[in-house]
Amino acid sequence: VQEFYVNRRQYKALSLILPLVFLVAGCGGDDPLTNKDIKADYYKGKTITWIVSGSAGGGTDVLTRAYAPFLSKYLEGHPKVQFKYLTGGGGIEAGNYIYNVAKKDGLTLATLGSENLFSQILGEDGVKYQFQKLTFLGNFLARDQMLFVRGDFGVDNFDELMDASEPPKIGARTASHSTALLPLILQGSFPDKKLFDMVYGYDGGEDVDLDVERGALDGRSNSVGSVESTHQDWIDDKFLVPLVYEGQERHPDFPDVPTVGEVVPPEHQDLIALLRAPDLTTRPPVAPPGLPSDLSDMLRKAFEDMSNDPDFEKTVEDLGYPFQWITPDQEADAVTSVLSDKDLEEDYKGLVGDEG
Amino acid sequence: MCGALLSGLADVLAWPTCGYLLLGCVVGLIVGILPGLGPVFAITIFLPIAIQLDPVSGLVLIVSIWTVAQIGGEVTSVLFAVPGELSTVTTILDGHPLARQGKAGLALAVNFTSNLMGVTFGAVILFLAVPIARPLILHLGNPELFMCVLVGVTFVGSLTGGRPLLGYAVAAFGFLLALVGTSVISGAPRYTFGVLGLWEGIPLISFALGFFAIPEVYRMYVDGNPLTASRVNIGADFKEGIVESLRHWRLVLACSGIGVVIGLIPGLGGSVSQWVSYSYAKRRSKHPEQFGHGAIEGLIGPSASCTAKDGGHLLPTLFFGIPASVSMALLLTAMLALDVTPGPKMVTEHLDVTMAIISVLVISCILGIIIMTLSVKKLIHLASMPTAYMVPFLLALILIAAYSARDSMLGVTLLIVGSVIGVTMEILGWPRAPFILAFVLGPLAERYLFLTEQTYGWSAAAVRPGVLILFVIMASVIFWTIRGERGHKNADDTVLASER
Repeated sequence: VQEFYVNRRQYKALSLILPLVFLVAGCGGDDPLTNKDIKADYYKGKTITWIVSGSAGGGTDVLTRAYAPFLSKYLEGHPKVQFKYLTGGGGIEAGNYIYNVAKKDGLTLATLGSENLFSQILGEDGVKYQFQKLTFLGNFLARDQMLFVRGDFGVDNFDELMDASEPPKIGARTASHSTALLPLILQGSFPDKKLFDMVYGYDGGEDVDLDVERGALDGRSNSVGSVESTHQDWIDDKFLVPLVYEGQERHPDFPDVPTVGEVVPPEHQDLIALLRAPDLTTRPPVAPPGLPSDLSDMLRKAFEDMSNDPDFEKTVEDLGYPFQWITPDQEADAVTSVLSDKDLEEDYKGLVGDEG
Repeated sequence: MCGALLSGLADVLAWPTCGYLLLGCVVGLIVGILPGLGPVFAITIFLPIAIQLDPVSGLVLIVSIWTVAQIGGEVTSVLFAVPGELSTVTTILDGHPLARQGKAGLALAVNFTSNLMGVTFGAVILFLAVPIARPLILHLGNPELFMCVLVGVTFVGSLTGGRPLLGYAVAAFGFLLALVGTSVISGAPRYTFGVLGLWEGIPLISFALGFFAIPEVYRMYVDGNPLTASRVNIGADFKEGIVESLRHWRLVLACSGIGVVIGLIPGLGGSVSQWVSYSYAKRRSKHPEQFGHGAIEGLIGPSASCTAKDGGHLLPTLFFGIPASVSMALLLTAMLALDVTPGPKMVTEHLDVTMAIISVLVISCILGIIIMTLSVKKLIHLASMPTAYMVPFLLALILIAAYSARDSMLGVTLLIVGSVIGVTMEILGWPRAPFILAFVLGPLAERYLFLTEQTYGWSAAAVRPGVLILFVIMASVIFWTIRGERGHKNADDTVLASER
């Protein structure tokens, strides 16, 4: 084996030159991309890093991994996709990364959550992003929350709930979790009556379901799609009774159940606007702010093409999520309308603050 | 039912399902051997493929990855003192000392045989328990689950080598460290010092690697001896290991039972069942002083328990749609995608799928053991490398695992913190088991305690029969531990007095 020696003089020279080389290299930095740099085959031979704001194996991760091959299929150049988990702060770390650290080169995307939006509204520690300035790419998930109570609780509809002698115990993860939003808005709309006894601290929806089945809880707010795919028998046997649906129109499977807009009094209708943003930003795929327009158009086109692919729609629905194409403009409008309404922000802080 | 089981077995062995079974076994072994990577990682990657297959093939692929990862983890724990899986940490305590004595073959044979017996027990219980699973799980409410956590910590707190109060004090320190992260009640961050990566608590994998693996590497560095003796007689050792495991069949059954019960409870799992079983094995052993120095019973109990818990985990997942762990949540996702609805239909419409899953638990374990047995000689040679080569190799492996656990330098930082605490406790002779168990169970204890108050109230919870029974068990364990240690101490004093 030939050995390599460095004498003292050479060592001194190297110790001076190398730091200078690194300093110069470090000062250089990359020029920001412009539309001139974006060719049709921009993604050829490149790798997209997709930030996942949830832990490995969770819903956000599973969905992101399902999206990836279709995105690769519809982007010209068919880039590879790799995943990076930034789960800190319930998604705040991922939000901070995509907003502040990720290069604006279209090679870093992130799947965030509507909790990112709520964290910003609540001004939680560590939030260093502005959700409304992210590059929205479109979304595929419809939120379809319904408030259910156990059949043996003794109420069959929302009017009877208003007359109930005791409030039902409703389970959720935390007061700022998206499944708590519908009961919180209803409670905020009827401040003179204690409508619900909220129980927080659950690890996930399945744990809430189990306590509902045990009788430790009287109900919960849950996605209709989720209930129908896992506990259709609970609906058929009237073990669960639906009371209020959060959508703008009545749910086709529950035509007799009123929407939240129908039950909330006129003076509190403004609270319903809080539901619109999470409706459209359930686990949204986003890119950093300030992407060159040609690049964001390219990504948005690929996402739109994905939405028209029946195989993709089936993949999302097979994973238990109701499919709905939401355009980037719809997402941006919903987010901006919530974040620009200071009264609404204060209302939400009040609702969560009272509970938390 | 037996006809359905045979039909399920035939489905698993038919082509192409058996090909997916083999693929799952190989993938499971690889992620099991590599510390930091676990079945969750592999299942997440293979989930999109699994949901494109027919229901039996798709679920066989996922269940085989999940089952076999445990076996790969046992091998690295015995040979390299690095736990491939969190559920194989106890294997280091007695398996690795055996490997250093030149009995790696014996340790692995004991592990494999106990794994196989445990998983078979779990599968049989899963098969038999279908009618009683539902009432049992529904009866275990938040108050009972809180008491289960306390009983678990009490059991392991007694693993202290003659100082029970020290064990409980160390467990309390573990509970304290578990407070780091987002409050399960209010969602507010606690003791995170502005580090977002700590919002979900201290990353367990990175910390446990530092806590258990680094002290072993440190000991190896100080001793200067290789990880395992290179002169081993695999054939004779394997035979002896199988005989030893069969000879301790009562311990296998008891610990398998512990594994199944702990597996039933969401949130608990292999990392808890192994410690409770280890504690149980030590308590009933005639030679508890050998534990930590290569006790066969210290290997048998946890190994049987860890694979038996798979049957327990599957019960709530298949029959309630309640996943007991992240791996089970992914299995549930696959089931829904494949139109296999969990619940009562699993014993009617989807009975073939249920039976295929029960069969694959045992078959994949057998396949995993065969593959590992064929490659064990090479691995033993690798582990018998001189210390000068092995220490840097292991440190690099541990560093990569700690980093990849969180994909950030936070994992490495916590590896260092875990190492400092682990090595210090090792030098002071403090028990590490109660600490890590309390650390794992801390968030669950807090959650169940809070939910107990919210859903039942203190007075109603305290008089529930399950709570009272578990309280009596817990009090008995504490009483007998302290009484037993006093008895030993008095006996020692008597011997010393007579010697004078």
